[in-house]
Amino acid sequence: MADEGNMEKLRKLAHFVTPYKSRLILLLCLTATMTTLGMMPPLVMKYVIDDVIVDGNWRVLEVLLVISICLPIASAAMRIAISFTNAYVGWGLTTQMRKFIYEHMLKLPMRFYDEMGTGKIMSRVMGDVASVRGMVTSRMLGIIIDFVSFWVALAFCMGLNWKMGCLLLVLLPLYFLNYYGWRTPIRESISLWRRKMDRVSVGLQERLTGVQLVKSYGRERRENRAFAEDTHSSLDAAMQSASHRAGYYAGTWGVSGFRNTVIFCLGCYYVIEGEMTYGAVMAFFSYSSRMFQPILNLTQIAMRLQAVMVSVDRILEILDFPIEIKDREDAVELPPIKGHVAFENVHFEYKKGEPVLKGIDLEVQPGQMVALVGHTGCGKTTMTSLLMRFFDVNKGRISIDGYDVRDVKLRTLRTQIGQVLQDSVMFNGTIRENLLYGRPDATDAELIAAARIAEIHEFIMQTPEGYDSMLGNDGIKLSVGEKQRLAIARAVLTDPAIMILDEATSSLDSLSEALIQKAMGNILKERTSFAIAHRLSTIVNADIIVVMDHGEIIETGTHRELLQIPNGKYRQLYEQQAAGSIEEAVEAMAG
Amino acid sequence: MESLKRFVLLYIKPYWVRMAMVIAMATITSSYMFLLGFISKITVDEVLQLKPSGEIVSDAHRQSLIQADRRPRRDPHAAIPGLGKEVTRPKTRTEKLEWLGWIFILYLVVRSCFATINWFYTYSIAYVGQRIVFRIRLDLHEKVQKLQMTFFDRQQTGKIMARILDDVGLLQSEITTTFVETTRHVARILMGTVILLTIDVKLALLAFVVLPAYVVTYKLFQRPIANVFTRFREDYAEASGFLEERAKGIRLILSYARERREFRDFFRRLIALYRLGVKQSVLSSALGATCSVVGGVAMGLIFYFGALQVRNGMMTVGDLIYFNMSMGNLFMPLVALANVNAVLQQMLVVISRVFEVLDEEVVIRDKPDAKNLDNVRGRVAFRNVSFRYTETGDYAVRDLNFVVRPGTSVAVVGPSGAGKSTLVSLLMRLYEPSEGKIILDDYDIQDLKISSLRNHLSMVPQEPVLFSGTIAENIRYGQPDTTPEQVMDAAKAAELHDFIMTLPEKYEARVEERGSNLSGGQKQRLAFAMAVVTDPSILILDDTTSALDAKTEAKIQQTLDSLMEGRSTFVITHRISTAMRADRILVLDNGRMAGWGVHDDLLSESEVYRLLYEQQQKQKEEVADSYIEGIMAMAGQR
Ligand SMILES: Nc1ncnc2c1ncn2[C@@H]1O[C@H](COP(=O)(O)OP(=O)(O)OP(=O)(O)O)[C@@H](O)[C@H]1O
Ligand SMILES: Nc1ncnc2c1ncn2[C@@H]1O[C@H](COP(=O)(O)OP(=O)(O)OP(=O)(O)O)[C@@H](O)[C@H]1O
Ligand SMILES: [Mg+2]
Ligand SMILES: [Mg+2]
Repeated sequence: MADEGNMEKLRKLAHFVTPYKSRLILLLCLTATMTTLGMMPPLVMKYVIDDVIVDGNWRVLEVLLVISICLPIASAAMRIAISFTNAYVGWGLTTQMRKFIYEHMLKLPMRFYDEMGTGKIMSRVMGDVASVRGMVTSRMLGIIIDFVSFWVALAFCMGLNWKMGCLLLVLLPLYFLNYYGWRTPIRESISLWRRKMDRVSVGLQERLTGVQLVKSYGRERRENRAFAEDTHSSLDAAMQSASHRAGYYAGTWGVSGFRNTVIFCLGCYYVIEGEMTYGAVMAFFSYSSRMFQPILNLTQIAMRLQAVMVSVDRILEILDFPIEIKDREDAVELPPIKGHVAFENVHFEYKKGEPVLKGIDLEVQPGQMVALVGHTGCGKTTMTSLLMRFFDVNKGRISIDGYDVRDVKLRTLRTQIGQVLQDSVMFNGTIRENLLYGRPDATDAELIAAARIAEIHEFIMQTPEGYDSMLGNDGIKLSVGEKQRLAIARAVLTDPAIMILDEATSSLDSLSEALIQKAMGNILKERTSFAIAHRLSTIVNADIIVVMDHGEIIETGTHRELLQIPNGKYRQLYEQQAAGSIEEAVEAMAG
Repeated sequence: MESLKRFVLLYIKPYWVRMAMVIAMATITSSYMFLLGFISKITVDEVLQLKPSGEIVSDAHRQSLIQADRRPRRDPHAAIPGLGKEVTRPKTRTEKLEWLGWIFILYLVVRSCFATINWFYTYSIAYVGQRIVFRIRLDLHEKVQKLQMTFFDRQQTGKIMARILDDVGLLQSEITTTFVETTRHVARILMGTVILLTIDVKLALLAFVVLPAYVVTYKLFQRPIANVFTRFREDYAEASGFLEERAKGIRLILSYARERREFRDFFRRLIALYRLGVKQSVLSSALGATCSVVGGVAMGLIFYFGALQVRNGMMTVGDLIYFNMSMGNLFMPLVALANVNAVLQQMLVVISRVFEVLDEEVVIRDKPDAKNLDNVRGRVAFRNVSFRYTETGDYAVRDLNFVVRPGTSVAVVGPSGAGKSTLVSLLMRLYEPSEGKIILDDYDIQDLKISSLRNHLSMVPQEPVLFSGTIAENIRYGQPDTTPEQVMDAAKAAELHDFIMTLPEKYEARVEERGSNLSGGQKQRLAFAMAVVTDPSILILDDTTSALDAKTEAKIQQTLDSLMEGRSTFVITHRISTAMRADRILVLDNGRMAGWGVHDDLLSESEVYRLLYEQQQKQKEEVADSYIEGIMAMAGQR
């Protein structure tokens, strides 16, 4: 039923199931026993009618009574056991899968997050995994059980009346015909529906995140309309698949109805002819439906499989996403960084054919402070991302203390570099948790010292619960400048060997900025640091100023050196920003 | 239950025609098994003429018993009930076969009728179910769009999403089925009761004895199932929220190499889900199992007594078979009802979660007599405005009192966290002042239509928000009917045009979620272009040049100067040089006004302002000094 490609995909997920092998076998045994128990009632019925009533063998009746009371109790006990084992396996599987996917996701390159988008990631990890679970526990197992019960029921049928048994086999293909007729339309409509729902979820996620913008532009009405359109088209797809499914079911009902009618009447005919007893007819009747139930289940599973395969595909989309940035087999631990950093002819592009960095050469001695300047979008942030190895260079190499960043263990690299990102991100949790993010074992004294450096200690103390105030959705929200200062404190706390400040103080007032810079100056003295800033006051004191333009370094040197380049880019930049005050100063000098 | 009633009125009632049809069909189909049972009975009694052979009870004895019982209907030799007295039972083989032929046709007709009805039924259920869910989603979305920012401050996006998509998705598969199946089951039970009573009163009464056992079982399981389910849904939303946040903050996770710990945190949440999931399935299967034990034992007993009845000649064999099939049909729905009950409990949880959102109070909404503003001159007055984000928290701004004359610009300066962004959010009416009033032209902004207010105001937020789509789509966001020329003009004004032209797809280049494939400055300028294109009466810029280099900033400043001409403008900035270009400067400190006026006055009046100014002056001097130093050094070298 499942074609080769599907089997291949399922095999990929199979290793999630392996740990549950013994449980699954137990489950199998339990279910098999229960199926057998389930085969009993028709037999009991047959004996009651044929032997007891018609033949007058009344003494057996009490025995049959005891049996028919014990049967449901036994099967109920089985049922609870099965459901427990089933839930155990199913939920264990879900947990394992989600865990594995999440673990894998954390290893994936930034590109994955850019391309996939949060909404899609979520619907895969939460929704699709659940649907695969349903398939594996309740259905896959069902297949095996069904297989058994099909043959058992067939044997019973043949035993009761082989002619009618053969008739059943003749009717069998009708089911498959029905199934094959509906298979493609159902699969297509389901995958269409999934795609539409994905759209809905992605759209929703983004609009909710950007709700402030939606409101500022008074776009609520239009967002509602867009959402309605998306949902409506998903509704259409859902209805399409519902109508296909209804058609399929109607088909099976039709076939079943025909089958039952024929069997019943034929059976009665045999009774009249004296070839069968009525009890046997009834038993045959029951067994025939037990024999066809597996076929129905099987086709239904195949139907479901179509839907589940879509989920599997979507999960594999994450799992098969190549881990581009990972430790090499022979990766070494990066020893404590002294601080020598070298970019050698570094080329990089996010998208093929759109180079962002074109041959960067830069050498930084331990303890130097590097200022990266240049117009927006020239590749400053990208350079720091490469140093952190969020991406790998396309050409050239980046080394720290002589170690190529690609040759060392990622963990030892990243934990030694502190970075204050251009967008400050905070997670739900207390201020303390957020500050301790990079170094959970820091003491309170260290925590407060870091907060003091970032000029945020006082603000924190003003909040109702100080360092234990909740941030984010469950607690207070911060102004942008406050977030930035927390991010600085967080980075300072990790005591990194190399510090990267990506416009870390851009949203701060000049007073706090000056204070922070002074405090940071002490820390950064003997560390290598990279600062990206647009305000000259931050830059002038740097040991090396790197002026970038469209992904190339056009000037490097100290402030003095750069000013001496006639018509130099740096000088232009400088004169422009400092225009007023330079005139004043020149006048003052002249005067 | 209250919420269930509301739910029915709100969402099911509009589809009552379909729903009634579905229910009618459900009722009809519920008679299916009874009909088949009846056909079997006729076949057994009338065509096959099965009779119990008694060792103890002789045939003659039986005859007399039946006579004594005065129940001629039970006499297999009497006329067939329902088919008229004149028809007598077949005797010969050919007659029997002829009868069998008729029964074949009858059977086939019944079966195919039901297949058709079932088809229609399945389709209609999906129809109604999908539509109900569609409506709920729309309502939730609309509601969420209406809700004030404080709601979003409290709720994680992932959690809201889990409600709109996953929770409601659950409803979709269950709700109509549950409703309809319930009617179907009830119909079956009623029908079954009547039929059982007509077949044999004593046996029927015996069957009804088990009913209370069912009721007790329900009651026993109801609460625990609902509890577990509620907790499950909450934990599920929690996990979604967590995941969403991490997916967004991946850069942070990576840069601190926190993968392992993150992973453990998520795992902890998964384990909680796991426990609840197992509990949930075990509870509901225990309920089902208990019910089926009750039913199964009862069936066994009844079959036993039924057989005895047959032996005593109180029933025919056909009756026993008919009774048995009907009883199965009575108990099956009872078991099913137990499941329905479990599902219903879960649905109630979902429904109440839906209503929780729908009932959230919309604080910021149009008054009934809200006015539409056609033209805005641009006079803005804050009168004793105070605001705090939470009921108990500190005031974010306090006692703001100032008037902005039409067409003039105001610069807002102050330390970080002083309340600058809060002030403009209040003006946009994203939040409602706790005290005081904000007047636009001659109206309190609370008396204006929100859409009309926000159409005249445009704000560039401090942290740019972008949506996935093309660059042009993003620029057009506030004003979808903008022409490509206008889009280009806006991009030029934002100094973004040159960059866009370097991209292979130009204005059609894709912007990923939250602008993750753009640089910080590019995002900021795109947000700026978005505001410019709407040509607002009042422009609000919240620190929109912080990520820009000096050159670009200077260029944008020029554009701004022309934009600000004759337009009321609020510019939040940290740079005094920018602030000085505005007509008035508002100084905020710790939520209070610490100065209002022009630069020269503020220098003497406002302590905060003077400090900020001096600091920047000092920096400038340093810069100038180092420049001169550099130049001198150069001159010296020559
Ligand atoms: N994830 C990404 N995918 C694709 N392109 C990207 C991505 N991030 C950045 N870019 C592009 O690469 C170029 C350099 O971006 P980068 O963020 O390094 O600039 P920047 O110098 O930091 O600018 P700014 O000062 O504005 O922050 C920009 O043109 C940007 O559009
Ligand atoms: N949504 C919110 N919920 C609760 N408190 C908030 C919220 N937004 C801001 N605050 C608090 O209100 C105060 C004022 O914040 P606001 O964003 O107005 O500052 P700001 O002047 O814009 O600062 P910055 O220059 O850093 O952006 C801050 O102390 C902040 O912590
Ligand atoms: Mg950048
Ligand atoms: Mg702000």
